[in-house]
Amino acid sequence: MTSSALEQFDETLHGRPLLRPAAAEEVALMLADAARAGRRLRPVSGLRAPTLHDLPDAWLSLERLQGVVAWHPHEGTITALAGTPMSELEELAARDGWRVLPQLPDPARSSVGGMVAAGRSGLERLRHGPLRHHLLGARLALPNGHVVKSGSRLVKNVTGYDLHRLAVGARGSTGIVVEASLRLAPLPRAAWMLRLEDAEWMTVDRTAQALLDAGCELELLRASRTRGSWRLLAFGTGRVDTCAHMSSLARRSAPGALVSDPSDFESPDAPARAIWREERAAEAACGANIELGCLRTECTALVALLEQRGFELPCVDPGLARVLVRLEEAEADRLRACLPPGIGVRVGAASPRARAILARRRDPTRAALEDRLRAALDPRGVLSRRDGA
Amino acid sequence: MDTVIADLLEPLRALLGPRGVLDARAARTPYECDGLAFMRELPDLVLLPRDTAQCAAAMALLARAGVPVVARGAGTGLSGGATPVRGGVLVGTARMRDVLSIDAPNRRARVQAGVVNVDLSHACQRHGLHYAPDPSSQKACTIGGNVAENSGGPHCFKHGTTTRHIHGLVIMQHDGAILDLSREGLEPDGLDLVGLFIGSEGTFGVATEATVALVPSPEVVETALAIHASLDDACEAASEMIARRVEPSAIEILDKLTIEAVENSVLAAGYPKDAEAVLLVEAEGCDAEVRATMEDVERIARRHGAGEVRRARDATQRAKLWAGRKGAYGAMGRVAPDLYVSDAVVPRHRLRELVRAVTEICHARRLKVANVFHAGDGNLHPNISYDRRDADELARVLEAGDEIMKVCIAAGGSLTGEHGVGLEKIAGMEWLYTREELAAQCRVREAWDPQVRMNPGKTIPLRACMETRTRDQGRT
Repeated sequence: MTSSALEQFDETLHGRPLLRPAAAEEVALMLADAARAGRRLRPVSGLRAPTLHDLPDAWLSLERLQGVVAWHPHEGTITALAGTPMSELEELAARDGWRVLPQLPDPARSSVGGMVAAGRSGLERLRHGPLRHHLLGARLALPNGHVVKSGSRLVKNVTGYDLHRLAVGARGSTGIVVEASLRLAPLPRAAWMLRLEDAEWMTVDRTAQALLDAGCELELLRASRTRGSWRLLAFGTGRVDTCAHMSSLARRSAPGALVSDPSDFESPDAPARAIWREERAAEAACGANIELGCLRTECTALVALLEQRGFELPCVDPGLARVLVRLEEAEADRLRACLPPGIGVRVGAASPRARAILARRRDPTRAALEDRLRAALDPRGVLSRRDGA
Repeated sequence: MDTVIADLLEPLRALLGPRGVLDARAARTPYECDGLAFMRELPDLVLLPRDTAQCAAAMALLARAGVPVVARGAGTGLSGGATPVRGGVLVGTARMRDVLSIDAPNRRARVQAGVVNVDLSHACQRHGLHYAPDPSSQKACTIGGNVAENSGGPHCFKHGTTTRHIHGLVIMQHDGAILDLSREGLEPDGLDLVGLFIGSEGTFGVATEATVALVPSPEVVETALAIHASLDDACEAASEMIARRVEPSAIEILDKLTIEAVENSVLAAGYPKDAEAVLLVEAEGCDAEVRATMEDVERIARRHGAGEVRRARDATQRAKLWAGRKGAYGAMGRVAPDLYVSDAVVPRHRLRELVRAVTEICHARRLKVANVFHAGDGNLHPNISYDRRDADELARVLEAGDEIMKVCIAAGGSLTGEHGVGLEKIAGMEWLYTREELAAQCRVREAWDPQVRMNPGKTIPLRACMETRTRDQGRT
């Protein structure tokens, strides 16, 4: 492929060429072409609309990179091309009793590569941890025209540097993930739930803290704001006996809440599975664009402070000490000013201006190292601007 | 002594005090190797800073002088990662042993890099918490060393390796600049620098402090010993546990030679001497969970020929079973003066075939091999007993080590699961990675350390880095 390959396209997206490579090596060659031509590319999955700020010179669609490359039910690992929807992996794994982690809010609209690039974790992260705990390895297309592997398809491996870890949440700025390997977890046999609704954050938070202190093993502990009230959902999974034990622990710890008995989770049409799907969909629809992270002991006060200042908080995960905020661009300065020191800010789909305001909190030593790392893998800035954007 | 090093002595003594600078040959000798004892090189100078500030000041001086730096924890590593190459200055964390804080409600602790792994768990015990990664050397190895190697241990089958348990780090960069990543959170906004640093074997910088995750001590723990008539059967049982999605916290295998060595040592754990292999399995959680898991374990073990499945009666017996497992390397000292502990990872459904292949490689070279390994993770540890004074035997050991790596790679495995590449496996990197893959890793390394002064000669072959640099310079 020559540099003119960038000019050979049949479609456009928002007025920019849409390149549609069919193989990993083709992605790398297009990146190399762009590097030579001084163009900037941005990957898109084809499963959801891209954000329109800072338009690239051309889009690089990964939708033709589809399919499961390696599936080992005896091993509990799966490897898929970047454009594969997560829902496809979930269906395949579930047939053999495995569960794909992370359980993203919208698996049908989330591609494997997009998930890694955005560093998206699942609803179950309270128990199973964030994406980086499940990502075993990846193949990355680099702007020097090569595809390189990092990590492996094995559950344990410390050979060389983990470049795939560098890709998590990097939004493609350290290379484009063209294939990723994930570690799976057994599909739980049963589930139990606790529900509580109250107008006061403090009441809901007290219950949440009581569950955590009692040692309940939970996949999800979420307080959601609905119609002026807080709704707490605790969701646990495991063997039937384990769920029975955990639900009785929850009943003792949170006497005012509604606690279910263990029920089936394995069959696809199980009511508990339907509730889990609803929660995933609810997160996808909640419209949060900023994620704040703090210590568990700081979460109660942080939520109270933000509520008092009138910020919209669609979801709070007390166990993860994670607060989701729906932020209008005009509120970014106000949020920045009221955040106590040490609060982590993770900017999702917020506007570039909001991103810039909140990014000012970054440590310059760290930012300089990040820039050097991006430059090491993408010296000509094909995948991200070299001005720290 | 090199004049550059000699010129540094006075300013370094002024910074670190007399206990912080070791220049006498006798004082430096213990630092000439780690657990890979056949590779030795005396450092020109050993520095033992007391804290991050002292380390930063010393590193800045070393940067100005342009001398190579090798970081070292307790020296328990098994790949030569803390062994100097052509001298240089060794920075040890032996005097950085403070648990700075334990934050029980948030289940985390902040520690200096030289804190010994097991000491951290002891310090947290009164809060009902512990630090999960438990390498066999946990009574000596340090958190900083664990970070450098991304260390594992038997219970990493359930809890994951070091990388899952580090919330943040304070890192000393090559020029003495402090990179404070101590409050990164689960998902940092930006690049995962902590994740990248863990397992980088001291080639990116020196971690001086770590914020670690603590896990609640389980309500119930049960340990079982399945006694097998063949190593093949034990491997098959472990593979089936994985395939059937059974979730204990550890699945370990010890073969006959290991059992004999342990049982003939002070660590005798009550393993049956007539067994060809034992599976050591532990489950933890609530009572119902543990009971059900252990029933699954026993059923599978018996299906694969386990004549007997013993359960530890109490905590004392459980501790004894683990002391035997973790002391197995030491016990092998009874077999021969030296032990080459290999470390490779293979697909878990191919355990039997690959353990057999590894054993045959050693036997074909008239070497004595014992297998004690993390079967649940597919992490093999063929341990070859030898005498390093016998040059022919040492050559056969190294040849077998290379052959084992090649066989594991060919089977879809990898060079190392927890010991790191270090010096030992550096040649193997070219068997696993293409030139371009190594070049990408070199560029990342140089983003951290442009002069490649941090632990030079480790992890990535020097030739690959030089090629990368030449090509990059040619393009500009």
